[in-house]
Parts: sequence; C-alpha cells; structure tokens
Amino acid sequence: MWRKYGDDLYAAVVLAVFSIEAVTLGALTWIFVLRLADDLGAGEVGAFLAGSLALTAAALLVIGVHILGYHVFSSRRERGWQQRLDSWTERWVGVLFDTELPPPSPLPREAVESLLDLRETLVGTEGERLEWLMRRYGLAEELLHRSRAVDGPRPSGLVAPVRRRRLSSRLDALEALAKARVGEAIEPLIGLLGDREPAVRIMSLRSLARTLARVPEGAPREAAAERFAEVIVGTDLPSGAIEESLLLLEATGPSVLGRLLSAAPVPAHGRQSADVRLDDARLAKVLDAVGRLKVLPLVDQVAPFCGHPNPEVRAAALRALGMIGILPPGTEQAAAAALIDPVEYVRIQATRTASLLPRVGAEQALWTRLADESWWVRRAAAQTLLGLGADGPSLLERAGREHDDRYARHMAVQVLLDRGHLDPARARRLRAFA
Amino acid sequence: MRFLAPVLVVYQGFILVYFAVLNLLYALFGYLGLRSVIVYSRELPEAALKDLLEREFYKPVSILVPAYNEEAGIVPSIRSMLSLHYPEFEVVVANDGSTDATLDRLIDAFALVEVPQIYRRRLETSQVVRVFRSLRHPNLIVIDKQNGGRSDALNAAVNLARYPLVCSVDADSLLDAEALLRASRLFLEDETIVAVGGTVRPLNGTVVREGQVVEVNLPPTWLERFQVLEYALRFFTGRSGWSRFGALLIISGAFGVFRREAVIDVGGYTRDTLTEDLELVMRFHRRYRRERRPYRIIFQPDPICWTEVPSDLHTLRQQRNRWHRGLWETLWRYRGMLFNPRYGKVGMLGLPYFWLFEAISPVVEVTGYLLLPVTFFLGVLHVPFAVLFVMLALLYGILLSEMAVGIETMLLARYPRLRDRLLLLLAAFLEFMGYHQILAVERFLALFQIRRKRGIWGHTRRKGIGSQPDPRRDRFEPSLVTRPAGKGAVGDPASRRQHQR
Repeated sequence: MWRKYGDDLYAAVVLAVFSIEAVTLGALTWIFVLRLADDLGAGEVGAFLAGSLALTAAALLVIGVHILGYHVFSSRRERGWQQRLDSWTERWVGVLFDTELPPPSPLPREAVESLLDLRETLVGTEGERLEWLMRRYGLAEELLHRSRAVDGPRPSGLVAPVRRRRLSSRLDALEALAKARVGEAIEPLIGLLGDREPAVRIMSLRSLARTLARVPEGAPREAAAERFAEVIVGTDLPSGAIEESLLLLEATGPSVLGRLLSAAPVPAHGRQSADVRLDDARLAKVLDAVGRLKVLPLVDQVAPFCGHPNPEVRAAALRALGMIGILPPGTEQAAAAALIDPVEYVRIQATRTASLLPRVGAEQALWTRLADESWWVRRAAAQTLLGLGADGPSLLERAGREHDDRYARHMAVQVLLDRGHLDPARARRLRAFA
Repeated sequence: MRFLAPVLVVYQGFILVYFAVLNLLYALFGYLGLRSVIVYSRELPEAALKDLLEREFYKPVSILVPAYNEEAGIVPSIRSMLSLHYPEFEVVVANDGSTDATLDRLIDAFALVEVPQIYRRRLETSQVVRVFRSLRHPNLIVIDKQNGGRSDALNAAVNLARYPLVCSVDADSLLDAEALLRASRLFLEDETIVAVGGTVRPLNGTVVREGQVVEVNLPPTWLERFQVLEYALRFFTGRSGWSRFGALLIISGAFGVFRREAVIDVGGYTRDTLTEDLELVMRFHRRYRRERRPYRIIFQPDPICWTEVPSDLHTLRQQRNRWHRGLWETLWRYRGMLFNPRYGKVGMLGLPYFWLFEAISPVVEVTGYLLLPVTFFLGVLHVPFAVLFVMLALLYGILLSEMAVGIETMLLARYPRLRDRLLLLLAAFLEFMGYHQILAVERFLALFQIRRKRGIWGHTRRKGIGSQPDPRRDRFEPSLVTRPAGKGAVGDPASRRQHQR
C-alpha cells in the first residue's frame, strides 16, 4: 500500500536530477578522452570534476530535502485525515436526510472522498440521492475530464496533444468513477477501453462494470447490457480481466452473460452469430462467470457447450453446471460422455458434475472414475462420492475396502482422512487392508 | 614502467566508462521503478481487492516453507502464515532433516499427527519419511524428509501441494496480510504469467503481533540499517525496472508465487545450486523462449514479505559470498543464452547486464581501490584528480541509495518517525565508509571460491522471531519482536546443505 500523492513530483525531481547527472557523466567521459589526447590540461579536468562534484552534492541536497519535506508534509496531512472524513460523512448523512443544507462548491478532497465512500455503501433511494448530489457538484464531469489523456478534444493532424494528463491522475479519476457509478460515465468509459495505457484500459473496464451494476432495471439496463456485451466481444483485453468485470456486474450480469452466450458459436446446433463472435478463451470465461454468479436461467444456454470441440470450453461448461447444481434435461448424455473424455481436466470437471446425474448412474460413474489413470480425476471422484448425500462417507469407505483398483482404494482412504471422516489410526488399518 | 603506465591509464579509462554506464543504468532503473510504483499503487485499489474477495474470484495457493534447523522461529512464522487474509490456502512445511528441535516444536505447537499420505511424486526428492497433519489447522501439512537441501525441500513441498499456485516463503519470513491476494490476482488477469515476485523488506526491528507486522521500526544496528537501504534499492528500483523491461531474472526465494504446473514442467528447483531462485527463473526463460511460448515473469512492489536479515558481519559476509558464487554458477550454466537473440531481451539485455555489472562489478571495484596505491607509488597518479573522482563515485552511490529511501517514504508501512528518515539518509552516507567496501571485497573473494566451495552454504546465525510480552497490553499475549543478536539457533556447521537466504 502506497501514498498516492507526491509521487509524480518525486518522479519529476528524480528525472531532473538524473538527466543532469547523465549529461555530466557523458561530459566527464569525453573530457577524459580529450585529456588522453593531451587536448586538455590537468587543471581544466580538475575544475570540471570539482564542478561535477558540486552538482552531485547539490542533487543530493535536493533529494534529501525533498524526502524530509515529504515525510513531514505527509505525516501532517494524514494526522486527522480520518477525523475529517468522519465529520464529512456525518455532514453528508445530514444532507441526505434533509437536516443539513448541501455545502457550497468547491468541495475539499475529504468531502469528495467521503461522498464516494457513502455512494459505495448506500443503495436504493439514498444511493440515487447521492448520485444526484454528485451531479449537482459536477463530480462525474470532473472525474471524466481527469480520466482523459488530453484536455479537450484531441487535436487532429500534425498538431500534437498540447497537454497530456498525468497517468497517476487519470488512474485516480478512474478509481473514483468506479466508486461514483454514475450513468453518464458509461460511454466515455467505453471510449477509454481503447486507451494506449494497459492500466487505464483495465481500470476503465472495472469502473464500467461497477457502473453498470447500478443501472436501473428495465430498458436502461437492457440497453447497457447490450452495449457492454458488444464491447466485450470486440475488446482485446485479457480474458481474466474480462471475467473479473463480468463478476462485478451484479444485477446486470445475467443480461450481459445471456447476450454473450448468444454471440458464441454453438457447434452442436450449428449456430453461429452473424456479425459478432466470441473467441474460445473468452467464451470459457463467460461460462465460468455464469457458474460463479449461479445464473440459473442460463443453464439451457450453457448445456450445449458441454460438447464444444475446445476442451477448455467443455470443461468450463461442465464446471458452470456443477456450480449452479443443475443438469438440464437432455444434457445427461453429454455429461456422461465427458467422463471418458481424452482430456484430463475435462474428465475432472465431468467427474465433479457427475453428482448431478441420477443417483444410481452417479454412483456407478464415480466408482468407475475412482480407478481413472489420472490422480486428479481419482481425487475428484472420491471427493464427489463423499458428497453424495448422507451415505457418501460409507460409500467411500466401502470403496476404500472393496474397490478392484488398488489406487482407487488408496484414494478413497486418503480423501476420507483429509475430510476428517477417518482418524489416522483407522486410516492406517484401512490402508493396510487396501 | 614505460609499458605499465599506458596500461594503467587505459584501465582508468575503462573504470570511468564502467562507472558512468553503471550509474546511468541504475538511474534509469530507479526512474522506471518509480514509475512502476506510481502505476501499481493505483492499479489495484482496496475496493477492487474487496470485490475479488466478495466474488470468490481467486486462485487457491499452497505456501511452501522449507525448514532446516529453524527451531528458533518456525512456530511464530508458521502461525503468521496461517493467519493470512486469503480465502483458500494451505501451508506445506518441509522439514529438511533438521538436526535441532524444529519438528518437535511444530508437533507441539500445532498438534500434528502422522498420517498416511498419498501424493503424486512428480519431482524427484530425497526420501519423505513422514507426513503430518494438524488437528487444529486443517490447511497445515508438515513433511519430515531426509536432508537434501533447500531446493529438494521445496520440490517435496511442490509434490504435496494441492493448489494451482505455489508460493515459496522462507521459514524466517512473514507475509503481509494482503500479499497473497495481490500477487495471485495477477495470475487471474493474465494467463501467460508464470511467476510473480514481491518486495522483501528486513524484519529486524519490527514489532509483530498475531503474525503480522504492526509496527515498523528501524533496526538497532547500523549493519541492519545498511541492509534496509540495500533491500529498498534492490527491490524498488532494480527489480521494478527490469520487470518493466520484460527481462526480470530474479524472483527472491524469500517470496515468490509460481504456477505449480509451470514449476513441475521445468523440472522443479535444481538441487546443485546455491541460488535456486535465480536458477529457476533462468530455466523458465530458457524453456519458454526456446519453445516460443508466451509467458511473463513479473515483479510487483506491493506484495510485501518481511524477512530476517543478518545482524552480524560474519553471517552477512557469508551470505553475500554465497550469493555471489551462486550468481556465477547460474550465469555460467546459462552462458549459452548470453547475446543470443533467440532469448530476446533476456539474452541481449538482462544477461549482459548481470555479467558486466553484477558478476564482474566486485573485480572492477576492488581493482579500482588497489589501483590507487599502485599508481601512487608508480608516480602516475594525479592525486587531486583521483580524490575528486573517488568522491564523485561515492556521491553517486549515496544518491542512488537516497533515491530508494525516497521511494520507501511513499509506502504506508514506512519507517514512521522523522528521526528514522534522518537515520536512513545518514546510513546512505555511512554505507560507503567501509560497509560497502567490505562486501565488495567479500564478493571479490567469492570469485576464487566458486570451484572450491561448490554447494557449500556456510554457517547460519539466526535471531529467530522470538516472543516477548507486549508492553502495551495489560495481559500477556503472544507478540513477536525480533530479538537481539546471538540468542538464536546456530546452524549445524557440519551440514553442507543449509537453508539460508
């Protein structure tokens, strides 16, 4: 955790000092060459060295004073910061409940911070009132302005941007926007997803997702979901960052995920969206997000992907169904087929999902997988067998004694031991038996 | 004499150019490191961390702790790891045939019971004698194995690790509460990342309560304070800068997070090396570059690990001697990558830098010192010129250390008092009044011991993370404060395979 102020100034000081030193060192080397060639007298070299020394000493002094100054300044600034924040929070609560008048502009930093923190906490009517307050103070416009790379419209043609904004300031503004969650930021944030700074792209995506999470139900939410799905399909952001943003969508999540699944090609149905297409890596993340958010209405859209040609997508679909806990009718066959998939990690997910098969089928499948050639599949089978209702532990203990495969017996005992269903002495006895 | 003088003049010129280039590179890395800190400090705000946790969006982590004769500090250290803020993790301690009471301490403190354990032995290791589980902490596993060295212990722990990410941590180190979350989140964001390194800071002088550093104080001795500066310089500038370049060659063995499969894929930690952390990262580079697979190895200044640094000169000299021998061993092993365009920035930038400015630097420095009296007696030394140049070199060194102090000032968990800041700035001056030179000589001597002392770690003198009553509480509660020197365990001198960072 770092202090987020004064660092740009320090970077500027360091850059200035070392630029001067770089020139000095270059000159020193050149002077030495001249001295070797007898083009320069010893006195002149000595004078230059003395000058370099004085310059370096001055640089040391500047950096030293800056460090001490920053230490003192930051210590003072932070003293009482929390108290000031608390007092502003109280004041804002007063404004929210009409016991106090809104303070005049411009707001101090603490006031903005506490307002954003409240916005993070309060939803519903109070949340809307806070959004209104932020609009009243022009906070969203200010933050959006600060998040842009240049002031005003970008100059075209050969004219270079006149004043580029500092990256730190842009990132701070994006963090504040993520807390503010104001609707008018959606389009500008989408625009920032194409920024040349990777950190800005990622933070814009995060802010965008958090903003979408608070879009009111109905037509606005559907329109926002449509727009976000388009953005996700078209962006080149890392798939992990995309999944993170999908998980932040809260109530808007199901609409976005449904649209994204529709945009993906489903081989089983031979269907492929006409103009947009989700690549396999992102499709796997979308499926994973469906599972993590437990979006029940989407299980029918997830199920066809259990037969996808890409093993990562197959595994993600099975995992999603496992997390939701429902195997839609007609998917049993695909799920059972995945139990003998040639790819190890697909079998692992299929084994975990096997608990959703009809009871007898599930027991049989898991008993068989307990003897799989993969250690991880055997382990998944034992864990799933253990979780098959109240008689899971006895079933697994039976496997520990009676399974035909020695490795299956060992795994059964190990999982019982790991989960605390056996004490070490009994496990040892069973192991000897196994 | 007529022939010697020009040679000496040319050598002086070499030293001057070397000095100029080295300082410029340091300055460049310092600036790049500072820029990295500026971005990192904002990239993952608290709210985003909270979001990750609330949505259970994380990868579970296995923390690997190799332990050899760590009876002094193993219990508080493991306790601190068990108290980390992370939703799903396990701690795998590999007791590498300790000859002291390390295992007994663990058994007593965590109610360990021996269990029959099945695991995939994917990496070859010395024999695992027993496996223990804790009755109190279901996520603690202790392996008791025959002595095989730090790398061997780490490999044994990797074999038993269950989770997709593994985090190697020294037994005398503590992790910040959020360190795992901050490091592991990167693996979620970018699937090409195979390893993430974090910042290591000296634990000496800090106050630790319930497994976490709660008060940061400067260590009591100058020797330890100099190391505070060194660690700040090494991590906040050097590694940040190289990471930004995409040619990071080291992830500290004291704290590094790796994809487990990637570690297994390259054959785990190499046993016949003194610097297994550097060696593993080099192997990643070689393998992935050869196979043209996309990968990233990065450093982040935010996940912070606190580690005990030597508090006596003897141990410190041995540590630096070993590090330098290990550096040479690894660089020599991977000499085929040097200036080889197939290895990209690593071969064309990273390795040449390490050869020229890390491996050879003590030679240049020590011969530079020796040259002064030699040229003086030969009568070719221009004394005012030499004095000014030496002073300039010292001021540059101080300037770099000061810059690192400046970065440390921006940490929230910084040395809080103004007096500490003044002492650190003073340490930047005093460091060059003997300390720096002693270590340069030690590293120079290490060059002549590479073959003779191959694989030898040397003695370890540990203070250990002890416990004493916290004076600010009115009842006794375990609190950990690093103890004064000389009260801890002394490693078994007979062992050729000690574990020491």
